[in-house]
Amino acid sequence: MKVTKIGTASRASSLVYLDNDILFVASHYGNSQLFKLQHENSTPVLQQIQLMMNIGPIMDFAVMDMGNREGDSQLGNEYSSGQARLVTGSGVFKDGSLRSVRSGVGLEDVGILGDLEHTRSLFSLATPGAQKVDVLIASFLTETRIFRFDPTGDVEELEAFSGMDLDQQTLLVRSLPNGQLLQVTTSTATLLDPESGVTIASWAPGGGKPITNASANAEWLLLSVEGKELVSISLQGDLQVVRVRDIGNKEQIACIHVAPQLTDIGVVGFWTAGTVSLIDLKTLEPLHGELLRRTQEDASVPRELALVQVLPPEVSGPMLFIAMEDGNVVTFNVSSDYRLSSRKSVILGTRQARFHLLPPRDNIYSIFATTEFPSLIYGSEKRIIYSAVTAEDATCVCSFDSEAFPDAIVVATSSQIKISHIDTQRTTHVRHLPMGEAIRRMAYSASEKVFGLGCIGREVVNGEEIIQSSFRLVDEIIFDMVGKPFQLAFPGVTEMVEAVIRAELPDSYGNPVERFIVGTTFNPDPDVAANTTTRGRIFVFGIDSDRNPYMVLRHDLKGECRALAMLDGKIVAALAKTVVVLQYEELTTVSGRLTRLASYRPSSYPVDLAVQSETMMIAVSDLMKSLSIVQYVPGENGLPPKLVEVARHFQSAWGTAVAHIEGESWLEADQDGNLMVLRRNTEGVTAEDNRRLEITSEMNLGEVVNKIRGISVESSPNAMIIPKAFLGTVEGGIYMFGLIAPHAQDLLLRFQAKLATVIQTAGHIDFRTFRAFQNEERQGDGPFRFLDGELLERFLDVDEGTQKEICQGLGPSVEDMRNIVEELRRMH
Amino acid sequence: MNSLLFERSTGNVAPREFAVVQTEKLLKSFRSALRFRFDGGERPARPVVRDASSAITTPGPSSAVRPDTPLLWAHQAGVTALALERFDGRILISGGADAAIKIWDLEQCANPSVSHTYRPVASVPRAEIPAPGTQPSSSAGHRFGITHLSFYPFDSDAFLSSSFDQTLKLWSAGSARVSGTFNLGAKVYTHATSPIASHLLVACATQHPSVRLVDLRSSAAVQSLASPGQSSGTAGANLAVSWSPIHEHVLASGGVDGAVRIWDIRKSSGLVALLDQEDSLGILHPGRTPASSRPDGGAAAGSLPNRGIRMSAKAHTGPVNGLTWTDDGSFIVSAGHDRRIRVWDAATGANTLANFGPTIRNNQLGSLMMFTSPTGLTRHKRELLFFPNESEILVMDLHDGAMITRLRGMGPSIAAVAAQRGERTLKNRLTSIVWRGAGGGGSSSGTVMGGRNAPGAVYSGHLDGQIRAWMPQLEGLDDEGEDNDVDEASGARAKKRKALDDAFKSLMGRQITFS
Repeated sequence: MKVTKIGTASRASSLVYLDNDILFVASHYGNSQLFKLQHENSTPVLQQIQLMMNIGPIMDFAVMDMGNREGDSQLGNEYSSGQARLVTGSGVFKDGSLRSVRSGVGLEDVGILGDLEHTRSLFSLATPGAQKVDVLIASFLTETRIFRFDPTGDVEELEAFSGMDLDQQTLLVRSLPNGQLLQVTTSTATLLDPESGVTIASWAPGGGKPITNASANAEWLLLSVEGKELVSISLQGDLQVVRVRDIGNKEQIACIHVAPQLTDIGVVGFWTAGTVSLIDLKTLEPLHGELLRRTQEDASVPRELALVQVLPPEVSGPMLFIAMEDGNVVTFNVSSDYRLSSRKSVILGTRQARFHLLPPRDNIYSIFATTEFPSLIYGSEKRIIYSAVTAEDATCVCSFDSEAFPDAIVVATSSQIKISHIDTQRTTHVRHLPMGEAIRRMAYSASEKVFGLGCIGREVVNGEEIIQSSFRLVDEIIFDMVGKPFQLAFPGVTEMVEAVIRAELPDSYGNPVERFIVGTTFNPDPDVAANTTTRGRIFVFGIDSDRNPYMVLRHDLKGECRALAMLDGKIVAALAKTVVVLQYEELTTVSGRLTRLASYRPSSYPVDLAVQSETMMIAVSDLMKSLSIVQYVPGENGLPPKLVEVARHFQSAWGTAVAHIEGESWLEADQDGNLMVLRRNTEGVTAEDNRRLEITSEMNLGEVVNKIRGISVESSPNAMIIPKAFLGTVEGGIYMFGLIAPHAQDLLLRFQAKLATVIQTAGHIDFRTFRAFQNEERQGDGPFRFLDGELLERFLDVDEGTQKEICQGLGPSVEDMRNIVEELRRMH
Repeated sequence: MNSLLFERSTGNVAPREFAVVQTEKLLKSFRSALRFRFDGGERPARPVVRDASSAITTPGPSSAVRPDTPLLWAHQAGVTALALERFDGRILISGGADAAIKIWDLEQCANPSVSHTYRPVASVPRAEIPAPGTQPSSSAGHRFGITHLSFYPFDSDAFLSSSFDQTLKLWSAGSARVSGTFNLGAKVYTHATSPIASHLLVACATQHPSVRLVDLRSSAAVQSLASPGQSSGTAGANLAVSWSPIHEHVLASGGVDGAVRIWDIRKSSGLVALLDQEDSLGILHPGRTPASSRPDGGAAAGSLPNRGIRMSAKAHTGPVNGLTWTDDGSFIVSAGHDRRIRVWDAATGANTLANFGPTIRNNQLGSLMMFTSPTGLTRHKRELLFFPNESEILVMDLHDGAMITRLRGMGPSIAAVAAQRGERTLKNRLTSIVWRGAGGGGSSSGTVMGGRNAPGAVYSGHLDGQIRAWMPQLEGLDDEGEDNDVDEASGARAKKRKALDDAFKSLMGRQITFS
């Protein structure tokens, strides 16, 4: 037999030959690949055709942005959901890589037009004779500026363009089907001939009153004058005023909109009453009105409108989107006789959203909504998706499908105007940095903007497998390695890195500085007798000015260091079978000392630690026996400090990861794929109640969780789910875990129970059995006080009749339930 | 272990495989756990003179009980039976030679790494001997020594006890009250309930040659299993019974005559097989004449000789007093006074010829409680046998007989125990060993090692009145939590201890000087 190397692939879990010289390499440990077998000079060579990204197995991850990046706190904002970014350490050994994962609509900057502040609105036009758009009109409070792009992408600012009035703020610019150009400024509406720049017609409100709002489609221009008069103007007849309607002194017009697809229909929103009306543009008579306020106290005002087709016509008719002043977006289905139905409401931010219609494809629009957290509203899978967009500070947007920048959009922020590309759909965005080594553990330092990675590499040298560990830094912004890796090696043993955390530790002058703490374990080489009693080490690293890690401290341990945590300035380390609290002292800039303060022995072996600093509690996840909670009691009156076991979960769960959730609650995952929320019952009557952790929720996830990272998110008081943690699994799954707000628990749990009986799953697997807690010791009969978000979202997939059936007897109406589920869907 | 943890987090090693590697290691590393003691509450009858007690409790270095610890007994008269429920691995019951029964909560001590002295949560004293002419109260405890204890098959709320006073009692574990008494008219050596069956039949091995079945539902002795060759004159008592963990009507019994009989309780004749120590092939081996091909067929076809089973087959050349099944039901393990342990293929009845060597000792007249490690904790066919070998626990490979560990340190070989009148000395012996496991509903043993808070545990009862705990030795150094540079402190402690020890020895022992 002759063996020839024909290429390098990921470590295969399965190889499938697909005929026609195509080979599929399925990999659990790296990316899956599709190869074609080429024959070059009669030697076959593998050529990659397709790469399928895989983020599993996730050994560790860091939660990056939760909307803000201030300081160390992972404090986020519920509106930023979907903007969350995770960086995962994925893949094993040669397929190991660092991956930046985010879910959302990607916006990629192509170029920056200039530092232009306070852009009010943006419009794009094509110069006469040009095939594609090439002029950008930017409107400011006191002027309007014009930029022209040539096909190579060069930009020049024009002093004049087609006779447009550039000394005022422009409310609207539009080219009409007959080639004419419509410009509405705050004082006049003008129809221009773009080639000669001659004014064809012009209309201005009497008495020098300002135009406050304007909207147009191909046939109609609707103006609001001083917020008191509605003026509808036909664009076919040289700005002939068709109808003027004074709405009186009691009411004010808050916003107007002309439906681009429905010819004679406009929408008007009113300030005082908080209503919207669909109007006939010929008569300005209301066809149908709708009060948006639901309660007496509600003083919200509609501020932006859009009546467009977002879903394909066979799924749904046109929809009306109303941006309310308080950040809500209310949607209605509009029937063919202009009735409004199926009200839904979604919070996008804390202030009103501005809608920017992106040019339709196949007559389907998508809407770019700018608030403090911009969103793209689009239809997908027969549903409306509100997806976060990676353009944090966008204020206005317009499409700019030019020759130089096909399919681009122009985005104005408060300080500049940029040209960007936007994805049409939300995708999981993965950036990937191959490391060639398994990333065992990672920690993120916000102040240094680097990740500290504990990597394990494997090479085969002369038929012998060499395992080598190192600590290295990766810059967050350029997303690449910086500095020199620090090799961790000890003669005669294989040293493996097991724990990496970041911490602020005092330097030798007592000032807090950013440090990485690394814990390692020794695997003695069976052939070489290790001449040491050391079984593991703890390192403390600093970062020097060249962004190299340098060692401050190396401490030999008599046990393997398996996990690390910080508690009140002290280092908590899980050794082979002991948890110790260590005091760190830096003596000089390159040396320090660790002193043991207290220790604790769990049932078997500790595998993970979580701390709650306020109460000085340490949760120790045990390899075999679930979780125990230990309190650190500082030494007092000459007594040494102690670690006191305060509670324990009496169960044989083979723990893998633990995190603090809130108060006395902890989330634990075990190797049988179960998730448990464990609570210490401090109100228990007997001492026995206090020392037993009780399960408040449990579910079988079906995947082995490697790491749980807690997050804290600001959420509104009536939010139903409060995100609390992310979970990364061996299978490559990332899950978000949240707590159900007490007021929603009953409703959502009953809702899930009803859904579970109606929704058909693949293979007719019973939901309750599928998600029931299961381990060697115990088999639950269903998920206990745990919601499966995936199941809840399937509510939106079933037809309205089934939805009604599910909601029967539940309390809220079908519409409310849809809103709720839609809202939950937006959480990720 | 650390590289395995890494492999588990990459998905290279499945969680189950990971668990088996760990439990197999733990199973092989059982050590004595002297930090756990069981205090039944009895105190020495007379003030303990230091030297008298130490003469009893510190005979050798294997006993690490410090001389300053007070004397404690679980049952001062000697522990004769132990049972530990397999559902949560929490409740241990012990029976004494004095007929008392004590209930212990093993979760009293949450952390298995710290020392603890258990105290019983409930205890039942010996019943008073009724005045002549009156019937003994059926709700009182036993009157003579406890021979065997076992838990109710479905939950840990009830347990069964049998005694030399010829009764079998059903107890409620919560209240420690008798809920039923069955007088069998003969000394009950042991009893057994099926771990899986829907019936509630208790099989009792008594002095009587037939196996008696007691139905807990109808409170009656419903059936006696007697084989044709077993007439009361020739055959002796039964010493062991054990139900199959997979077939609810199949029962094995071992008797003084050396035979191990397999019964199907649904059949009128009952007996379906005899284990034959000379048969290493089993009944399904080709070459034997299948019953159906015999011309006479019919009624005789089912009888044992026609299926190639000798009616004179013996499993051991001495009385059989230990019987257990592996909990997947594939093997039967038997032990006899011939100092042999035999492993039988449960499907064919073949002697697998596993040889456990010459170390086996077994001569007590009474049931010998041994057990195999639950399947699932080890790789397939790597189960371990835990065998009480008079003064030590042997942990051996069930299939090749290799010795894994000998757990020693059982205290003095001659113990003084409380007797009805004063005190008497007797030879100390292991009477019972139990496995602590949880999650055993629906099988014959708890597959989760060590209950809900320990990495594993075995408890043993001794005639010297102690219950001793045995736990796996965890990997890693015991002093790993200590700093490297504080060795002086521990050194000083060791020095102090040695000085005390020397002083003690010089007082107690005779100085031997060589000249």
